[in-house]
Amino acid sequence: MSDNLNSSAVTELQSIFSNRATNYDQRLNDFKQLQDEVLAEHLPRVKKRERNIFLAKVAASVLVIGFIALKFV
Amino acid sequence: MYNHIENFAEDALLRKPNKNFSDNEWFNAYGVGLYLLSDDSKKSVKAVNFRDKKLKSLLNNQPDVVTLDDVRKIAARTKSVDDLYDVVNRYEAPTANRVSRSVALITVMEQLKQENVPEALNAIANLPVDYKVESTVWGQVITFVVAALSGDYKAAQFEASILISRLQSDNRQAHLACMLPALCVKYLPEAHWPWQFKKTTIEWEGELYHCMPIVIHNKEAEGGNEFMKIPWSERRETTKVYAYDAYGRKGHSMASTTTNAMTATASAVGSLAANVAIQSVAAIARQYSKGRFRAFSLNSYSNTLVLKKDVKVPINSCGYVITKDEAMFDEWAKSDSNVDMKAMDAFLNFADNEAHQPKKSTAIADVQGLIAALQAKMNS
Repeated sequence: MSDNLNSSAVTELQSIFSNRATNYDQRLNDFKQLQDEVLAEHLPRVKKRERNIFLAKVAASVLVIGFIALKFV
Repeated sequence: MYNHIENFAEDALLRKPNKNFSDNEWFNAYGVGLYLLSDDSKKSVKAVNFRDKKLKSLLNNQPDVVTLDDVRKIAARTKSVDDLYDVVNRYEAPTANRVSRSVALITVMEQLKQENVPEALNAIANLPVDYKVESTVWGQVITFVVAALSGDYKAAQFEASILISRLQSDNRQAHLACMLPALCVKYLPEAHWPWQFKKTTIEWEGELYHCMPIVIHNKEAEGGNEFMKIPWSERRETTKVYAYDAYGRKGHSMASTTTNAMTATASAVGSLAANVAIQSVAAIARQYSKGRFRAFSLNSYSNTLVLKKDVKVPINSCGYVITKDEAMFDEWAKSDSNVDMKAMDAFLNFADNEAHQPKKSTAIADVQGLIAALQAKMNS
């Protein structure tokens, strides 16, 4: 081992670490933004689906009650 | 000289994975280090073989890096509002835990072992994006080794000094007791070892004192358990806040004041260590309880240094045990021996600048002057 100072590798490593830290933070920011994107895209769909299921249940209940009413009353 | 590498392997074999200590945790604690620190000793070979047996399952069970597309696909499959919000919250900041990610360091460590710095740097750049390696102990070890291998000993010494401070709060005491001394011995010329790893002498009031450096693990220090619960990153932040606050206590609750006071000590010792990196190893004490320290050195693994029962040491304690008779340190060469402080002249703790002098008859009159002189010598 020589006693010569040669910090180019250390500088490069620090630069790699720094880039990695930036990418790490950027990635997490992207995921935060994705939350809004995903909600904007899928919330109407799942809400509509839930509403349809609710309506189907109501319709089914009405049919059953109607059937019973017609048959037995 | 004591074989720290063998001792690191012994600790790795003693603490094999069990139901409370997963394979991943074992690999993160010992497996990664064994790439850099292994030799032909029986225990070392056994530990390396044990690690290699675990590798296949560890590699197969590595967590995947979650991508934006993954989340989009998962969100597209949701069928209810609750499910959708569950996905949104679950993937708010998806990162694998660091312990599981440490398996990714294998290539880096293998390249460093072969002293191939450029390839090691490539491997670091290619680590999974969700692994914040630079903030882990291994990130610092990598910096240390890269600096040492590229001949930048000052940078390596600085990193070693910071690592000592950090490892005083690491759950694996073997990192402080064996790993770091072994790394310093392997990668640094003796002149560049941190002062905590190197014996020294000083002339004071006409007497020549031999000084054995001591570092105490925080788990055994006063308030140490509380301190160790604070994550490393938060401790650094708190130190920063404290450093800019002239009074320190202003605006802090009682609990955080305690934390800050302890952190200030850590910070002072940390910067001292960083400044004095020109000195360096003989011993590391790792345990304190009822005035007794278990100590390590380059010459031995585990000694018990007996102080008075009422002696308390603060967080990040380190300093010198001094004696006029160098032969007193011969005891340190024997593992598992008791070293009575009565045989020494003093233990000088740089964390609180306290001098513990067991004998009144040989007490040093201007001991604070001696502490200052020793600190000045480190900084010179």
